[in-house]
Amino acid sequence: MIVPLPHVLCVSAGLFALGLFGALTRRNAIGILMSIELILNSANLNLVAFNRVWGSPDGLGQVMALFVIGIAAGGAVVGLALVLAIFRRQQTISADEIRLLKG
Amino acid sequence: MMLGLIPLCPLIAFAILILVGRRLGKLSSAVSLLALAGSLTLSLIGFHQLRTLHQQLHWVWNWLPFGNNAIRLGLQMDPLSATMCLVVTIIGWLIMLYSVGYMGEDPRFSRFFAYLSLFFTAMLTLVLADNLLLLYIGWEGVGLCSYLLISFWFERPAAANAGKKAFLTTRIGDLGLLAGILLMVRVTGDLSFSDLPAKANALGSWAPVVALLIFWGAVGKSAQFPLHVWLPDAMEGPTPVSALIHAATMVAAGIYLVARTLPLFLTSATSMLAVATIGGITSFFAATIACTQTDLKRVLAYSTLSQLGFMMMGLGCGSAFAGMFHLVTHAWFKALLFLGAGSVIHVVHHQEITRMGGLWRSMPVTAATFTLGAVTMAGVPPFSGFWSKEEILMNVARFSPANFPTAGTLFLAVGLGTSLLTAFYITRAVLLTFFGTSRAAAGHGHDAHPPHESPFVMTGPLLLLCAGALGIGWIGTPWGGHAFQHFLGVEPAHHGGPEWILVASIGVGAAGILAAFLRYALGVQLLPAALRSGLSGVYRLVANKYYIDELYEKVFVQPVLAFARRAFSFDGNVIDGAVNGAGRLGLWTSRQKGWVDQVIVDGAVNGMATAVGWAGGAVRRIQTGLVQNYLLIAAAGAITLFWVLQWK
Amino acid sequence: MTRLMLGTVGPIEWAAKAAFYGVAAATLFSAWVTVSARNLFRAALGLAGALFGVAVIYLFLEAEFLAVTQLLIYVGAILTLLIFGIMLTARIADPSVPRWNQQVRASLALALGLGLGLCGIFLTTLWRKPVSDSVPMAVLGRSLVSSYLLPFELLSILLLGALVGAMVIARKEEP
Repeated sequence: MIVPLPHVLCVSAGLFALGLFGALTRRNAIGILMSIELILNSANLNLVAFNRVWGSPDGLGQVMALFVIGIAAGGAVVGLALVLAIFRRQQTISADEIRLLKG
Repeated sequence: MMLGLIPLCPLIAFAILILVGRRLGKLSSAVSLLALAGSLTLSLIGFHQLRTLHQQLHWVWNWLPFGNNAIRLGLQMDPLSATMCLVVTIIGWLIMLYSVGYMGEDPRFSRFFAYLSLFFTAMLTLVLADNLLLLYIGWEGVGLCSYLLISFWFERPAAANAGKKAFLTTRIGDLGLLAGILLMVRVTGDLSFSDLPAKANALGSWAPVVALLIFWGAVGKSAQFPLHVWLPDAMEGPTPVSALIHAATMVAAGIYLVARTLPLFLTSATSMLAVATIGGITSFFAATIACTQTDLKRVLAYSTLSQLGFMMMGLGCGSAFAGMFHLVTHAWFKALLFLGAGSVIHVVHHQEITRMGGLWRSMPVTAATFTLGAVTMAGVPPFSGFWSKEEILMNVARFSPANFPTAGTLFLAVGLGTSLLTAFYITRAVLLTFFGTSRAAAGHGHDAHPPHESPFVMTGPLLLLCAGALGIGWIGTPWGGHAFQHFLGVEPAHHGGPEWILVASIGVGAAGILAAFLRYALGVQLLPAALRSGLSGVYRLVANKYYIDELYEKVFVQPVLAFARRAFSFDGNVIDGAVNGAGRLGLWTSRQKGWVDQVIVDGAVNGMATAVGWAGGAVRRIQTGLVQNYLLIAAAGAITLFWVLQWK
Repeated sequence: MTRLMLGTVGPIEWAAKAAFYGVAAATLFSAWVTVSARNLFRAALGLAGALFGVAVIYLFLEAEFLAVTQLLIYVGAILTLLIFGIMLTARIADPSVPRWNQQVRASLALALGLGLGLCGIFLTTLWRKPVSDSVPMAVLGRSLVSSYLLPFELLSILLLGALVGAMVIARKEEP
């Protein structure tokens, strides 16, 4: 590999941290979705990096990354459908104005 | 079994009358009469068996078995108890018949007959008992019935007080009897009357003690000095009651008891002397009082006391037969005299002989029977009173105990003196009541109708009793073959006694009658005027019964009442005070506890609720409803966990 | 092929390294834009950039198929979907609305802590020696239809379900 493994891992760590930060702080629901996509991508990056360095039978790392991409797609679809539904009901998708779960 | 029925029949009558008597009304008397007739018949059958077949009936019942022993109760009919049974049932039946007339208008008619039946049950139990324990049970029973019947008209305070006095006084005697019984059972363990001479020996030196304790019971029940005070007051009860209980039967129970337990007395000259002495004192001093009384029933009451003393004297001198013979004759003529008095009282509505007189014209039957009864009592031959009195005098004369050889002579003198007084006072009563001019106050309010003879239901018994009183003595005489003596298994007395006593007793009887006749029929003053005024103090003493009642009142009654009052105030102040104080303490404590409960406990509970609510409110703030908050906390937790595990 | 192109010595290798670090920085910067842009559309564009950057890093890691798949699906489909969503629902640029919510400080601390911590761990661990080669596409294809057939089919069912569910959820209510 061009660069040592830890450097790649650091990139994915940074992506993860940024994604987490966004998920926790974005007020817009779609913004939260986007941050979650970032987190998923960081995981994928890890999988592929480790697969490149240590290998696995049948290329398991890349297969798993492929599946993650598929699942992320499904998740994004459902998430957006939910956002649309909420928007129709509440006329807002600002996360801190949706307090239906308040105890 | 048959023996058991004798006391049982009146008990059944009692039960019936107590439960449904009020509804039966006048029929109640029929129930009682029928029941007593049943007892009478059975007694006659038993008597017949005893006399002709010489079979003594005995019936034993294991009352309380314990271990190998048992407390046994039993009834027996031996000659002594047969005699008593017949006296009680025959005379009792006649008196009960008389009561139908006497108590005819009383509102509590059935109750009277119920009490009478109960009395007969107790008396027959007493008489038929074969051991001291059952006798004591009957003894207490007759005491109870005496109380109930004396205070039958309890609305009158005098009657209620008389009942109480009778009960308490006889109770003092009963304590002695109970002590005697307990002592006997302690020493010999056996209370039955079988083979008493052997038991007397077994008791050894305790025998006189037991005997005297038993005698004390008889002193109470037979109204001997010093426990005699209740009998005159018992005259407050209806006259049939006085006749039955306080002349013929209950007071005779004491005589019967002493006669029954005589072997115990015979062991010691001291106990014999004690019995005879008390008997003698009672008979003489009661006779003196009888001479001064103006209430007809009081005269008869003191007369009873005197005659009972006479019987007791005879017993004390060693002859059970003499005492029993006089008991039988006395029952007949005293019942007759009392019922006759009742007949008079029923008609003139008062009891003062000073206001009577000349009643023989309007009440011939009563007058005749009463006079004949008086004659018998005075000891005029050939009537029954003479024979029994003479029997006693004979036995008394022969009495010569080791420590006092001349006792017999002394008692004989007492006996003759008493006979003189007896003849005197009874003649006096007869003369003042029935003969002479009428002293009834004119224009008495409720004497609207003039005196008349009583109804046949009352005079019938009088006639029968008169016949019995006159003739019953015959069974003890030589001409009657000494049947009674043989029946009781005794040697006839005057086969060896001095004949002059016979003459003396007739003499004193005649003297007494003559004196009374002179004084009251002819108005002759017997004593010179000077002597009379000098003796007026004595007269007052005697007329007031020697002030014995007053003495007892001062010495015994008042201190007891004072103590009772003090005990009452102690109870009221101290004990009730303590109880009330405890109550108040309880209240105060409960108030404190209430406060604790309300303020502290409820406060704690409410406080806890408030705290929980506050804690809930505080914790609720976690649930913001914002998903991102939840996510932050989850992420923070997960990462913290990761780092902790990482650095382990 | 990349290795042949890149070689292992000299200035070409140095340039390759520099290229990698540049792409990495760009990716991270785009991610930052995604999470911090007030304008949602700009955030979406930032996401696009981050996804592109990741695809290029896949190329560096000799996972060509995956890189292309990433671009096709993530950028082509998901991002388009997100932009549709943005257009349909959001107020795009409202200056009065604050960018973050109130958790920003805590989240910043958390994310920084996590990120720096992870980097530290990664850099200081003694990793195993690298052993393998890249995975040819044929191996990938074969394993998808033999060893991992089941997850493959399950994924298709999952996507079907997600599709149907999304349609149900986002349906307009019958008046």
